[in-house]
Amino acid sequence: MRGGKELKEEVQDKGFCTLCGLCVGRCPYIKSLEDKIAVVFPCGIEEGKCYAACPRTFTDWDTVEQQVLGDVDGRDPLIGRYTQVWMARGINPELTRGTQDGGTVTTLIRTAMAEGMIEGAVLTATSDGLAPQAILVTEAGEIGKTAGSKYIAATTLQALHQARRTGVEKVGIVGRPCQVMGVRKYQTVVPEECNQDNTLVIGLFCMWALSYGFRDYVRQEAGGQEVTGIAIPKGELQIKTADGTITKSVEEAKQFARSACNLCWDVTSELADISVGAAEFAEGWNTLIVRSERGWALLGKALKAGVLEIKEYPPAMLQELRMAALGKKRRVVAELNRIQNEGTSMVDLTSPRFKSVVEGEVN
Amino acid sequence: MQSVLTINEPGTQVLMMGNEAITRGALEAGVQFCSSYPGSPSAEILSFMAATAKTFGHYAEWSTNEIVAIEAATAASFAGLRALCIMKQNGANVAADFLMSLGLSGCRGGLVVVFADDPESHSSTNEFDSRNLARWAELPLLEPGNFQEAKDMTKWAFELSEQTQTPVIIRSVTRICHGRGNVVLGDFLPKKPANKLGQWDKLIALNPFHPYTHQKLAKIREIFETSPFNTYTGPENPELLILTSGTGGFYSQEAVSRLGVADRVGVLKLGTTCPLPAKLVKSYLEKCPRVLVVEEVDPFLEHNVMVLAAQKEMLVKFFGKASGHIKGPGGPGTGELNPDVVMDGLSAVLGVARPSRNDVVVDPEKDIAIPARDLTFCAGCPHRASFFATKNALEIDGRQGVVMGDIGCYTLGGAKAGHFLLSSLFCMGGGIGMASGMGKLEQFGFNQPVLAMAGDSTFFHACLPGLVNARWNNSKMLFLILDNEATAMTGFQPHPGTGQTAMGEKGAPFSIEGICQAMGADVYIADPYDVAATTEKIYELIQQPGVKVLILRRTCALVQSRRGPKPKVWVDQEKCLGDACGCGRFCSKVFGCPACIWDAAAGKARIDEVVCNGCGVCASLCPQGAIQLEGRD
Repeated sequence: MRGGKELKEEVQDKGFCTLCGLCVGRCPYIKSLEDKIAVVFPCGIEEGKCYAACPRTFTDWDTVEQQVLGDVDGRDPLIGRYTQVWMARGINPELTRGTQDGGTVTTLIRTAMAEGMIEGAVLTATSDGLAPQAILVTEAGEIGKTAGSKYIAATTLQALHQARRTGVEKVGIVGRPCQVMGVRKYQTVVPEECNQDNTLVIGLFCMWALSYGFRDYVRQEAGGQEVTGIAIPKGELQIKTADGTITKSVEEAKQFARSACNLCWDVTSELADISVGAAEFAEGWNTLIVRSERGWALLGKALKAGVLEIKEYPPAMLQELRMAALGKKRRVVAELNRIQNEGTSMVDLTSPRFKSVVEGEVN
Repeated sequence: MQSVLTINEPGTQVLMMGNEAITRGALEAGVQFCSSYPGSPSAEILSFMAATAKTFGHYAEWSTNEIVAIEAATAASFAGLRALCIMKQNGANVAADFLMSLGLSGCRGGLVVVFADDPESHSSTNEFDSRNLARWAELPLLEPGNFQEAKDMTKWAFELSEQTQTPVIIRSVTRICHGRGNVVLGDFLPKKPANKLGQWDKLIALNPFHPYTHQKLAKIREIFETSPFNTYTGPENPELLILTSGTGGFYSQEAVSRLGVADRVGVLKLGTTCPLPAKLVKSYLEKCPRVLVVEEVDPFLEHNVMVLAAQKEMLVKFFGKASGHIKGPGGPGTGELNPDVVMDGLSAVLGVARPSRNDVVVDPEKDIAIPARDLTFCAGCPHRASFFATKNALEIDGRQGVVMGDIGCYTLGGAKAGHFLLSSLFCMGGGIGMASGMGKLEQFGFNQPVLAMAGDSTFFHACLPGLVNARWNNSKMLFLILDNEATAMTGFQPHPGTGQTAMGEKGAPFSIEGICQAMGADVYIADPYDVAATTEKIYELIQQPGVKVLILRRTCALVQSRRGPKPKVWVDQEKCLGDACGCGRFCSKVFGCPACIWDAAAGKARIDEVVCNGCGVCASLCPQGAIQLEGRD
């Protein structure tokens, strides 16, 4: 095992850190601001939980998946194990105000809290769509403040430690795929701090997250106007200001994609209880993937409460999603191979999970 | 209340600190105007002057810096008053530009300048020998070697100054300033009123006066030839002559006595070392052409006497710094003298055995070894929090920001207490000047964030031109002003930011932020005790172009602790997990406050409530929230 020193040398200094935030705030040695995380002082601990739980240290996907999802049938090599895929949208306007697409995530997390599945939620807030902040929410009414997509990488998981310290036992987490993996490894390494039975993980779809350079770019484009929101629907970057919306190509935003994201194998949060992304083919709808018993239970409660609407997912669209995931996975495996040749082994590339993607055995 | 400074009983012997003796000498001389900037080892003198100002009717001020202090004192002399100006060795450099001209202009009323050197730099960044400055400025130099001389020379210096219309330098050192000894008191001389300056009364330092300066020095040399401050003890025709000045006198006496060579060695102690009383010295060299020169720090006397011997074509064998006989652990010309150093040299020259350095017997039953201590900040010091926040911000930023240091308590931040954060350290105001330059290096590929750090008193002393320069030339840098509302390092003297004067008058305090804003810098204020907010602010500001100023404002913990009851800080023993925490004793080991201690018996952290000043910063750092704070704003 290794500790903070190795976390700094093998992950942070190499630019591999995903900014999941899991290592921040658990100990006093690791601090974070904006899109930076640093081991400020050497802790001298040789076997650090920070290193063991980091999604960017060596990760045995097969074992973690087995622990999280058990023997759920239907493992898809491109979007992970699942039991169901739906189109979904929130239908209670009280709950979906300010949300991006269908408002499914906000609706689900509010339902989980209202139904007592969780006591608190680890979420990401922002005032302008640009500077995300990790927060722990324990009042259902506060959840609305966190609605809407954030494109800049947020260190959300640091709020997980705040939950533990303040005695919030049953926690819901909404995170990017890297954060979902962080939570799952954390559950494996320190189950006494993060018990799988008490944790609800809602995973987001994610192709990349942006660096803070994007914030400076947007502020410059806004030309002194206050930025009130950001949206990236269908290849378009929309900068919303009091004066109206400035429209740019999404490529403008993509130049700020964090290079660490090029190493992310997971597009759809494959180890979440339930995963949600945009349904780009249908405005106002989300794609919803149910993976675990807990995810299924949550969906059931939302439907029963009448706050969520679902409908059948068009098979052609599912295939489109899968192919998008395949494209990214192939690029990522090439990168993982490259860094392995340079001495960093992040996953077991000989596992069929990775080999099949490269060798064209999937379709 | 009567004190050794005020009692009017000529002939009475009292115990005095050297700085008191210098003060008393000036008071006996009827000094009317005193100015200084606080610096160790001389800081007490002006405080004593301020404390006695009402009693004696003189004026005392803490000046913004040393060059202003000497300018102000010279003005008083110009008006015919007796004036005293006090500075440490580094301060003499600050005043040097003016001092270098003072030999040309001369003075009117007696003008005495005290240089207090700090050999071994006990409380300075560096040691050096200010006597060189006196010679360079062509000003007469007196060196007291004991406490009586400290008083008597000061008193006489005013007389000499008025008699020759030349400012006089008195060079003291730490052991004279802070040591104590017996002093026989003298009488207080009457004061004269200020002169009216007529149209043709001028005090001008221009080169045509240079020959007159030399004529005056020749006259002073004659006066020095017969000065009672030059004394000889020893046999009529010694085998070896010790030539010494200042503290070297006591050390030489002790060395001669302990080696039992009083019948072989004579000691000529000079009190008037520059210009050198050549005839006097020559007469002793003729009696004994084997000379051991004992002085601290530089071979000042040694070189002057070597030149004299060469001029007079005398064959003299010199021992001292050049020969390597007078040297401490750092070699000749470095560090302090002591009797051991002199004994080493003397025994080697004479070829006699010296008592062992290990002749002090330690009884392990009775004697307790003094534990080694880190150079560190006081408990509750806001600087500790400022350094901690800066360290956090720079590490999170990750571009290896560089911090240009300055002179004050926060200089200690260059050591472990400040996480070795300071990249440079020179003189008062040196940090902002360097940062202004380093903040212009982007075009050469230098991309590290640039910071400067200085305290509030240092800000007024020497940082204003540097900040103007940085702003004028649009340097990219962050200036951290550690405003603890005191000149803490030297004993809490007031400064322009406090508004109070040396004599206790309350005036409008200068606004540091107002000054910086007027210079066109973006100014922010943070409370260093709020480590998280301060860290965030520093991080934010080093991302931005231009000159930024962040004032880290918190009253010095020692000043605060004198104002009222201390806030209470304690460790909840239930919550502290001890070594099981995984924090690695963060409070005591990393934050490092002397009040954060480890209770080995309990295996948990504890707060030493005697040492703790109640800043409560540790409470905000404990990952378990085990440290409790009560009663702080």
